[in-house]
Amino acid sequence: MKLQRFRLFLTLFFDNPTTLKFALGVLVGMAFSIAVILSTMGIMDGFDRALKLGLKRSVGDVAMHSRHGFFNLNDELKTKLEQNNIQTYSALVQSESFLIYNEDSRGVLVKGIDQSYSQVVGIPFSLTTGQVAIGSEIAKINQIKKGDEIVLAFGKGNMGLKSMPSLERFRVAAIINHGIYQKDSRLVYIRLDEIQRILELKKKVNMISFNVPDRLGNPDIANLEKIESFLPLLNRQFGNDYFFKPYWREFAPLIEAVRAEKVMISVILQMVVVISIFNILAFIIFINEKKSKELFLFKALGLSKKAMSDLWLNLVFLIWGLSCLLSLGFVQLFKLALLKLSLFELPSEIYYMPRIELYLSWKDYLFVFSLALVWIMIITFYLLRRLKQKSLLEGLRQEFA
Amino acid sequence: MSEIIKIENVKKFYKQSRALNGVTLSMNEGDEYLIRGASGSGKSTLLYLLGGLDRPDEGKVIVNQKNLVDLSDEELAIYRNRYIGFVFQFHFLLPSMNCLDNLLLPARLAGLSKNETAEVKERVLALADTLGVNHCLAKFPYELSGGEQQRINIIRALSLRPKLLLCDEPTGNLDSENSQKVIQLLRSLAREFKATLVIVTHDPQIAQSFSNQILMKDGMLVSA
Repeated sequence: MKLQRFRLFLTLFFDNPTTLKFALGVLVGMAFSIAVILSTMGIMDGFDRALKLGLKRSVGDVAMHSRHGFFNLNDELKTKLEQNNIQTYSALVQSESFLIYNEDSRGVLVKGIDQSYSQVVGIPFSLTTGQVAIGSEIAKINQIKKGDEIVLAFGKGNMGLKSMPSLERFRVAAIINHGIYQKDSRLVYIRLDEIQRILELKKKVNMISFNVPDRLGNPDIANLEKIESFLPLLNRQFGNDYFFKPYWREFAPLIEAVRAEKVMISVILQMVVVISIFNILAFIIFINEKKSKELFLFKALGLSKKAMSDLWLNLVFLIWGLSCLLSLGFVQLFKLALLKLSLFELPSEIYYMPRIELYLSWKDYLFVFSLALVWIMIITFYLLRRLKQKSLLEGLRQEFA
Repeated sequence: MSEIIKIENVKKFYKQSRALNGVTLSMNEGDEYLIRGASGSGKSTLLYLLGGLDRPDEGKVIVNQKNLVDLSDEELAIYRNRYIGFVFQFHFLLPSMNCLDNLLLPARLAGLSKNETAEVKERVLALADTLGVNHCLAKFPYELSGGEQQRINIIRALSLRPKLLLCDEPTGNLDSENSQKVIQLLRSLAREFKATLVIVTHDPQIAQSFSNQILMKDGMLVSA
């Protein structure tokens, strides 16, 4: 019944090219406004996601450190980890060092790892003795290629000759891309037994990286709460001797800033939606004026004010729905542009990531679409109240006199 | 015949002027009534109140034992759609629709089912045949003569079998020969549909043939 009326309404309204063009303009304007907000949120979420993924690829879910420095991964510690359902873990040594190549040197963080580390971070490592894997930015800046020979200078502290570094030669076996400039320009990987030998640590390590239970191979890194809620449990179990750092900890202020910015920008960009809603209002006023004869006749022939308001609201709802659909297309276009056009490539010296991908969850879509609907409804209701004010008889007399 | 319309002390004001000033009258079901009076006497206002197009400021307009003043906007819209057939001086046909679509407009606005709409369509086609405007159905209003437009207008008013056929100066735009034809047509159709016919006119020639006449002056009933 209502559909029949609505079809009649649409047939009446869109019977000429002018109204159709106007409607199309309104639709594109609204869709573009929604797409701007979605894309902005997508960039923020994309940044957040890329940063977290990159961080996770460099450390796993959680890094465990001893307050006493180096420690042994003994059976007791292994049992404790396993009692907490931590199945994927890797003990490693990380130490500051200098990488020397072609008479250039740069400070790097060397991680001594074994095969288990690949499982934790999701990067396949297969290093043999004398081999090294370096971050992609180190390779780029120092123009190091696979197969090149580099030197790592390790501090030896009070061991041997005081203040004299230990120089070790390695062949570059792999160039690793973590996706974060800061990690790619700083991390170097060698075998765990090798760094233990160089630093004379025997079997000692200074860090354990692990993934929290049920997260093995789970690409959903957005759920930070799960890791957060796991940490107090670990603190209780392991006591004061150890402390735990989730993978995003070192970038926590940045992640928090991005989150706050996302909310603020979304709120500010609502202005764009409101402006495009005024186009919808202009469209309603335009139709109402252009078709007022027909509308008053509809009322005279038995269309109630409520039914008329419902028809307007259905029209607005249709515009909103089509705008949302069209905005998905605009977002995809922007996503493609962001990935393909060099214009959108970020300078890696300034930003942590060279390229940001749009990432939008269903919650983002729901938030933007429903907020746009709320705005449309509020403003349309106000307009409809104004339109209702003219009496039927007054309208008929004016229009048909 | 039973009383279908009862108007009690109805008053209506438009800004400063009094359009109706305490009108009281009654009408019987199936009868024919003619309301006449000079321009500004309040005859059209009375008709619009009967048709539920407006509400009185005071008094009661009781149609079929329901006071229109008490009806909600929604109920009044249904009343206009199902109970009333309007024939206006101007044809009020929508220029963007062809005549058949114009005829089916009340049925579509009523939100009738497919079967009910098909019944209405059958009825309007039969009426178009009777009134000799079959050839006009696919045409747009601007392609028709004044007489054809008015006949289409009458068919639309009768499309949902109204109980009350209200006509406001239905011959205002027609010559005297066509005026007589239209009035005859309205009377015969009202009888066929068992509808109460109320015609507003200031044409004294038309008035001669009506036995139930209501004369109005300055918003008041002079004789009924």
